[in-house]
Amino acid sequence: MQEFAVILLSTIFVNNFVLVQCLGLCPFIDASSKLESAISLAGATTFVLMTTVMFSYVLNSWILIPLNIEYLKTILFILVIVATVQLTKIYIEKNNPLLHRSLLIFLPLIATNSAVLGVALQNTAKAHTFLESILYGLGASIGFSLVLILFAAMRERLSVADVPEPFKGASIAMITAGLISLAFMGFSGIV
Amino acid sequence: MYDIISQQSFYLTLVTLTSFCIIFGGILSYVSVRFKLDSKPIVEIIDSLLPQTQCGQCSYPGCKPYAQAIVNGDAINKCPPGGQKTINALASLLDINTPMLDSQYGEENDTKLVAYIREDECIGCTKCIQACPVDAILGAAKLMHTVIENECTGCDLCIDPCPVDCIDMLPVKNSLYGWKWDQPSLVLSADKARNRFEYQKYRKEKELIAKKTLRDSRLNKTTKTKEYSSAEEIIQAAMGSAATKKSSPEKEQARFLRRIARAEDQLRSAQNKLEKLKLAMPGDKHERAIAATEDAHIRLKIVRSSHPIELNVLQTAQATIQSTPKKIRQ
Repeated sequence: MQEFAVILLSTIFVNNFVLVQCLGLCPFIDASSKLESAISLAGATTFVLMTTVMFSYVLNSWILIPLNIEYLKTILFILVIVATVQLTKIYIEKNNPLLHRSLLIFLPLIATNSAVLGVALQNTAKAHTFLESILYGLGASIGFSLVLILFAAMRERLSVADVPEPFKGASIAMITAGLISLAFMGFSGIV
Repeated sequence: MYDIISQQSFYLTLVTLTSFCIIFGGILSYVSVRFKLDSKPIVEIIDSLLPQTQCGQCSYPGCKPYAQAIVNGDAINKCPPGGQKTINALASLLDINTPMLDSQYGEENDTKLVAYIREDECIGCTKCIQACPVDAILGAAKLMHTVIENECTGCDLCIDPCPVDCIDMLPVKNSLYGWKWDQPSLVLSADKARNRFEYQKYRKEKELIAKKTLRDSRLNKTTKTKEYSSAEEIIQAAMGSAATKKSSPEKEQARFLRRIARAEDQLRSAQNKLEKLKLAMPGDKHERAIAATEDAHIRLKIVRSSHPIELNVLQTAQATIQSTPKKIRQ
């Protein structure tokens, strides 16, 4: 039980995928200008990530390892991710057109989100069991959502703050992201 | 067969990748058929939010082309007939920030206008018929034309082509077609809100007092609860409290006077309000205020009529209490 807590804590805070491992930075900067879209993107990413983690575990342990073709895992995991994203897109488009409209730009971002592929690859590299893989994915998605939503809320305030002219927009966002990243560095060594 | 393939890693790779592509492709194609989109495409949704005047003020030849243009990335604030309401609806649909109406495309007009042709001046040139985007003008060459009021969208496209300037834009009459309630008067709604606010203050005070008295009575109860040794004591205690309650006609009288004063106050304030309303809006009927005044009248009457009965009862009760010992003495 303690192991699982360690995995969760370390993926959420200590080895946060965005701020410490620098994975999934594209949606982190791109989709964080509005809190609502950040929340929906976090939800969609969590869903895709968890599905991918499960699929990739099954794929890896049932097909790649028995057939001794583990060198194919990167390309096959990408295939799985893209298919999952496409499935999600079709499903959302059918059932929630407004959400689809607001996620339209971000869904391809999830497909190319390095955090998703990173979780799948690291799971195989660290030889996690199924439960551990799922916890690892859960921690990664919670960490990603946490940082994304925090950052979006901060940027919403920044957009009305009195920022000096040359720092407006992307530059202040970069500075803020750097500061949050520094703050998360403070967690290193806890676990 | 399987052994041969698995020994040669090139073929194995090829077969695995191909089979996975086929599997995922199959799943996706099945799902895309299963969840086939039968709802309207976004152009239709946007078009349904536009006012359909087909006036072309947005620089596009109608509402549908403008909806298409919005989908392709045009600004959403180019529709003066729809006004800010349409812009808000579009912004919330597309989940983007709400811009103000772009004034270079026209100003928002509150009252709906329709075209009207002064028929004796019409020369029957049919130019306005060709200009009308919704076929709302009837007529033939060299004969008088007229506008079907219910079909006209008020786009003003027929005004410019008219060679004799016989077309006016008139506000729509509030007729049976498209009839709607009048907007509630601002003064009345403000009064209502003020009354409700005052009432809330009054209610909170009342609740506070009620709470306080409840708490006080509870405190008293806890201090007063004594152990009654027998049933007789309980009866005596109850009779004693009843006697003190009964034998205070002065208190009753004072309370009664207070009630009358309150009712009179209410009546006066209701009358004042009615006067003010009559001054502010002489045309109106002020049914509500009149009803409120009558209500206050009736309440005052009830309070007054309750007076003699209660007091009489009290007085007779007191008289009997006073007279009983005498009788016993005699």
